[in-house]
Amino acid sequence: MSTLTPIGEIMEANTTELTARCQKILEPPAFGSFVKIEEPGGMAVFAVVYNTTTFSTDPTRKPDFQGKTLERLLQEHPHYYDVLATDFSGLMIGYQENGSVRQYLPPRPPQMHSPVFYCANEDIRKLTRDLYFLRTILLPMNAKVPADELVAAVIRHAASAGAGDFDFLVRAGKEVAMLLRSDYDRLCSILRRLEH
Amino acid sequence: MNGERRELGVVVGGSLSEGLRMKLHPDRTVEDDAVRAGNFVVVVGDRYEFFSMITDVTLGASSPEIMNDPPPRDSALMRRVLSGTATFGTISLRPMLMLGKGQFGPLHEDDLRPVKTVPGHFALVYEATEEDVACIFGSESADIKFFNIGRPLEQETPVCLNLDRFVERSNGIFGKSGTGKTYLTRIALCGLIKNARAVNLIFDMHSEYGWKGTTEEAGRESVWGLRQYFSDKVAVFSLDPLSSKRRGAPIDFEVKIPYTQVTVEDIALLQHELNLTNTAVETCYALLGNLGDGWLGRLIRMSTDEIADFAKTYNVHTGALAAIQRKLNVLVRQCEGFLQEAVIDDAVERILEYLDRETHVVMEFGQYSKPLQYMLVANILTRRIHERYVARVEQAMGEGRSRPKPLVITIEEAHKFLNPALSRQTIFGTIAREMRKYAVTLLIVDQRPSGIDDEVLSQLGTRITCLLNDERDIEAVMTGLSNASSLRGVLASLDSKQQALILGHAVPMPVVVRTRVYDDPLFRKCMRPDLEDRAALVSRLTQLTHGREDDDWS
Repeated sequence: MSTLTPIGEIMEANTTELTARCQKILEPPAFGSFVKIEEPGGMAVFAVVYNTTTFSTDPTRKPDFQGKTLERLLQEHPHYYDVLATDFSGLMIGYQENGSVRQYLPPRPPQMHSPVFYCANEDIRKLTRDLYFLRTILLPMNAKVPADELVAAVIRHAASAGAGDFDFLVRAGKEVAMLLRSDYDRLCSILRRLEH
Repeated sequence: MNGERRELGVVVGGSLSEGLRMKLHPDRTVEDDAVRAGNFVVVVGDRYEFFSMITDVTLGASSPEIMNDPPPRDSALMRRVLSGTATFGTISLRPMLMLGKGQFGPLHEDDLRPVKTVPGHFALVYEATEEDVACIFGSESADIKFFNIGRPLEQETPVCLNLDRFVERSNGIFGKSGTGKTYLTRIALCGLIKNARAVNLIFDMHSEYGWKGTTEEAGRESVWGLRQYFSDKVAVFSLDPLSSKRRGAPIDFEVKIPYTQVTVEDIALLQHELNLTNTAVETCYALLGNLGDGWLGRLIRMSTDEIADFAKTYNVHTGALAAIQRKLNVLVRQCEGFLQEAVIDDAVERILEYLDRETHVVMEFGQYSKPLQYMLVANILTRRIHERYVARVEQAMGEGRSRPKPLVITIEEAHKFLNPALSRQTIFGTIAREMRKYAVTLLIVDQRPSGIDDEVLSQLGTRITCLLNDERDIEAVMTGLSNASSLRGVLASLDSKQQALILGHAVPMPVVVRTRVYDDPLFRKCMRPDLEDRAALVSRLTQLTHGREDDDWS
């Protein structure tokens, strides 16, 4: 996973969410991974991926049943990919300005057509020093966000980025437990997703 | 100073009457060494620091569902995550004293104020440091009135008794059998003698204080008695010189008591032991009224005819009178070793003479350690000594002279003297109630405090309590205390040895201590720094035991 080449480009952005088109069709960033959009003026916005969609860009031609594997289809129709696109959506969790990381929404959304990169492990470690952003994920404005799954995936990503091992999982788990102090069932379902 | 204190948690609720509730810091567990009933903590409020005691530890949960569906046993992550967040320890604290914030160093007693409010929400709670303990409980080096009695559970700084306040009122040392009451009593007496805060009269039922005491310590047969520690300040009086001789214990005076000193009050005290009815006691008063001080001797010697005559003349029942004679005969026979028709030397005068010279008196009972004998002698002697002290104090007041040095009378098996039926009749009940008015106080040593009259218990100044299991005994020790309920748990959780809860007049706040070890080399060094040299020690012992080499100290 390279942090130097962009993985996508912003197509749509609002205060809390962004949608980007993937550089490569059918190769979106993983669910729960951390992405970064560098803005002019030195600000960098961080987001976590919560949804990806692949669809036809030609409204008159919808993909239909083919009965073939994707490989075979491409061999027979080399231009098949030209009418497809893969988009991913991210939930903004914070930003970095003048070297310091803030765990709240950026003052403005990223600009259209800005390139989107994977977050470097260094960035993820910095970002997860404090885990207050988990609240943004856990209690999203958008009902389409699968919050429990996303929280678990984000924590797993952060843990594998070297932000910590079991101790990190415990720390993040405690943060979730604080946020869900009145909802034991949800807490358990998230913790079980962290364990396996 | 705050930097040295370790954070334990944060105050989340509570009240002045019920005590505080503290949520344990997520990184600490309820099994932490600092989280122990009886431990000493400091709550730092905005303006005051509250010195408090841990009285209870509770497991809490943010939601009842957790209890219904606990995490699976193999889920290490869930267990770790839940502990300290959704499940947490709640500690009950009892604030005992408050002190203006930042006020440290040598304190005046008035700086420590009784708690009149509670700290605000989220006040941080810290483990008390050594400095905190020293600041509250004083230090032996600061003033001679302080005497080291032990150390708190988690700190090494000594907890000191304020001996001046200790002797101001009657005190109690309680604990079930084998918990170290006698050890503690010896330690407290050593303090009083060494620092010369009072003169002591000790009714030593089992010959454990004067010369050599028993010990349960492995590999040791005996420990030093008070006489060995303070040979020139302690005199041993004995009712049974033969027993003292057998134990190789030198005695200073052999106590004999004449019949004339036995009053009807003494007999009334033994009512239960002698199985006397109330009417029998009244008959004794009639005898006293008609026969004068020598009534007991006269009654014992009466023939059957004389009894009949007496009964007829004074309108008492012949059978009843004969029964009294029989029962008092039992008494006289049981006490014949020391209770005699006529006595040359008056024991009370001699005891007073020693006490006046500030020599402490240990009264050994030897073989006469039955409750009947112990109670009779203790009551007779104490009554007369008390009379003399009352006279002296009144005289001192009248003439504007200084009062006599306080006298502390140590009694064992106190519930026999101070049970509700007797405490109004015996002199001990009177002393316990009068408190310091006449400069005589009691040191009550007992394993069954529930047998002692509530009125007496509520007057006790300082209570030093080792482990008690019986609910009634615990209840009794807490009589007259405002915050009894929270201390009850502390008391029940004491170790069975060498731990005691001290509360009352002589300590600024209740505290659980690991008591000092009596008679280890360190204790000896503290009590008798001059005897550090072993050669000097051996020669002194040899001299004391009249040429008998004593070599139990190695």
